[in-house]
Amino acid sequence: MVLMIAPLVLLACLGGPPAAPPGSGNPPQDPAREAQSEHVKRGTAHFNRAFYQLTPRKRDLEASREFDLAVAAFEAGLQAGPSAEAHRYLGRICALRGQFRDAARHYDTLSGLDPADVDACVLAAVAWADAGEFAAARERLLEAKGRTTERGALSRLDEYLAKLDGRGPVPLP
Amino acid sequence: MRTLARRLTPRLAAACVAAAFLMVAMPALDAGNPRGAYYSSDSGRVFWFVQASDTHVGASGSADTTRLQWLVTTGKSVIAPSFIVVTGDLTDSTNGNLFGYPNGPYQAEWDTYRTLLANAGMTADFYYDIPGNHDAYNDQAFAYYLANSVQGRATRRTQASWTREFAFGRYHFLGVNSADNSGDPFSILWPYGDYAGLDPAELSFVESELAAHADANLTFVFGHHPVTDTGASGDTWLYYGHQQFLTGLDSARASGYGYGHTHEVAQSHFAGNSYTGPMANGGMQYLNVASLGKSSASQYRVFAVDCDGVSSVAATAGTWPVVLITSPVSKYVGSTVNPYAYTVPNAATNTIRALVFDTAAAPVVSFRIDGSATWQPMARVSAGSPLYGGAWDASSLAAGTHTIEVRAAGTTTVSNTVTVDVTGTTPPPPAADTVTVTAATYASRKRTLSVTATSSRQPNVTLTVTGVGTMKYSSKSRSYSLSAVVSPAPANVTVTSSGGGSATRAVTVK
Repeated sequence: MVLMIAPLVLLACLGGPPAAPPGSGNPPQDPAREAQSEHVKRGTAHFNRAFYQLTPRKRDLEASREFDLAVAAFEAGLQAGPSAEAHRYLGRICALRGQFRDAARHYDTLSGLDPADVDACVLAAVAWADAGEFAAARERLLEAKGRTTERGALSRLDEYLAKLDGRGPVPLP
Repeated sequence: MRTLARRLTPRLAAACVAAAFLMVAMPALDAGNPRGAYYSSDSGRVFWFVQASDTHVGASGSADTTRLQWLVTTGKSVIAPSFIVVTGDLTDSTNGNLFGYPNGPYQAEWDTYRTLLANAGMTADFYYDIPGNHDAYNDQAFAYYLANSVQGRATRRTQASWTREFAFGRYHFLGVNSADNSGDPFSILWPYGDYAGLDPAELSFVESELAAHADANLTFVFGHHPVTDTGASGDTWLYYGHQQFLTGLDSARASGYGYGHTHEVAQSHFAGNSYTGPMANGGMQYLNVASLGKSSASQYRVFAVDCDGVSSVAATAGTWPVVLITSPVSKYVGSTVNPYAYTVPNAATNTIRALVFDTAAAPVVSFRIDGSATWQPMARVSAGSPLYGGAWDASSLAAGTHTIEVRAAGTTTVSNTVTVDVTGTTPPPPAADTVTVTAATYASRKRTLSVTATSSRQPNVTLTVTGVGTMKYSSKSRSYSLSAVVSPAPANVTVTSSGGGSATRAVTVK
């Protein structure tokens, strides 16, 4: 009985999809945006297959093909305009492939699209540091510091800056 | 970027559902009994195991792989534990990036982890690895853990349940997945992509495994996260399912909860608080072990169970000897009182037991009472055993609190100290137990003698069929049994008990 009721309670707690305002009908569709959304959806599906199904099973060749398809889909999506999601995925794929400069550029664009996203700055800093571009990494970390007032985050960013200035991992305490 | 509110609201709702579900569904369990610990001269009721945590394979600038390698090779060989449990953050998820920002998972880290363990011969019936937050970032389905960890590959689950059975009883162990199930990426903002907890499915597993092993002498539970606030601003702990989890552990009378995550070492007795709710049955040992791979502490913890008394010590990888007093158990866990500690009589024939692990062939082991200048010798209880025993004449001690220190001088000199309450009077020896031989049959064709028996003090005594061998206790049948090939068929069998009792029965020949 409990098992039958629990999902219903869950639905009630989470709420269903928001109801459309009365008389609003379907909002007008932007065909370019719709196409972009489809590309990103397809890119995400390819990424998920490559990253979560094939890579952990060591099916690297197939994974590489799926990543290629994901990249093509995300890039097609970007033809229709900027997309934070597409840049986030492309940054990740480039980083996984060791293309750190390209990854950093995608994360920089992502960071520009959402000025509130502190972690986008840090992802860019990580990629720039991986690329050996420490000045750019430092700049991104400082930018991240300007995006948050959270003490824990500021302290962590200071740790990252210290590691960067030490040009290598900080020795263990 | 999702806002924190958007991230947390569905989880809070899910937590409400979990609470509602489990308040109805979590039945009263009755499993282990930590109060069953007793002081005995019997050195045959001891076993031990190892917990490590936060191996962080892939962390930049750490000794991650060398320490894990040490644990599963040299450490395993010298300590010879019953099993090793590793409580999460198996991999670092950073692929060695400069900042240690976990943006993985990375298959390369998992390859290293998997290969290292395979080369050391780690198998799913010995090595129990459960996930932590670093194994969960960006991986909602725990695909990398399931494809690469020892337990994930063997069970296709993120939680583990196992037992150890001995002639003196059965012990149950649970490894829970306390990591966030959302697949959120790491974030430098609270809660750092680590909204930890146990969801209804995970709690259901905990509940059913505890119920399935309700006959265990003792129950131990392991997870990655602390169950409650540690007081450190950078830490995370269980944010959902914690009350139901603790209720379940309380109902099952769990002896201990071992965790990692904080990279700190700590031990106390925990009986609940306003966040988790009280543990009405008395609480449990609450034991934090520092990171094996990513801190200078480089720690692991050795647990011992001796006559159902639980003791543990945190040790540093690569440092010998490791000393752990197993009997009597300390009246303290850290600085808190251990309610499951027994008192010790001021008898002239008391015993002290300690495990001493060392690469040195023959460490010199001794004990002293209350910081005395006189050290008294201890010897291995049997050849090659790491368990040492010492005869302790406590008859001249005043009633009250006393300390026992065991020192091992081997590769280096290390001590372990416990505090015990000594009673003022020597209790009379317990009356002999009542032994009943419930069946004694001889199968002529197979020349097999089968004997079953019970004792009024089972399972805390050892039964022996005279001239044949030691009987094995089954907590399922709640009886002792022995089958052995003998010839000719004996007319009678006599079963004697370490509790002093004995019984004889005629053998039925078939």
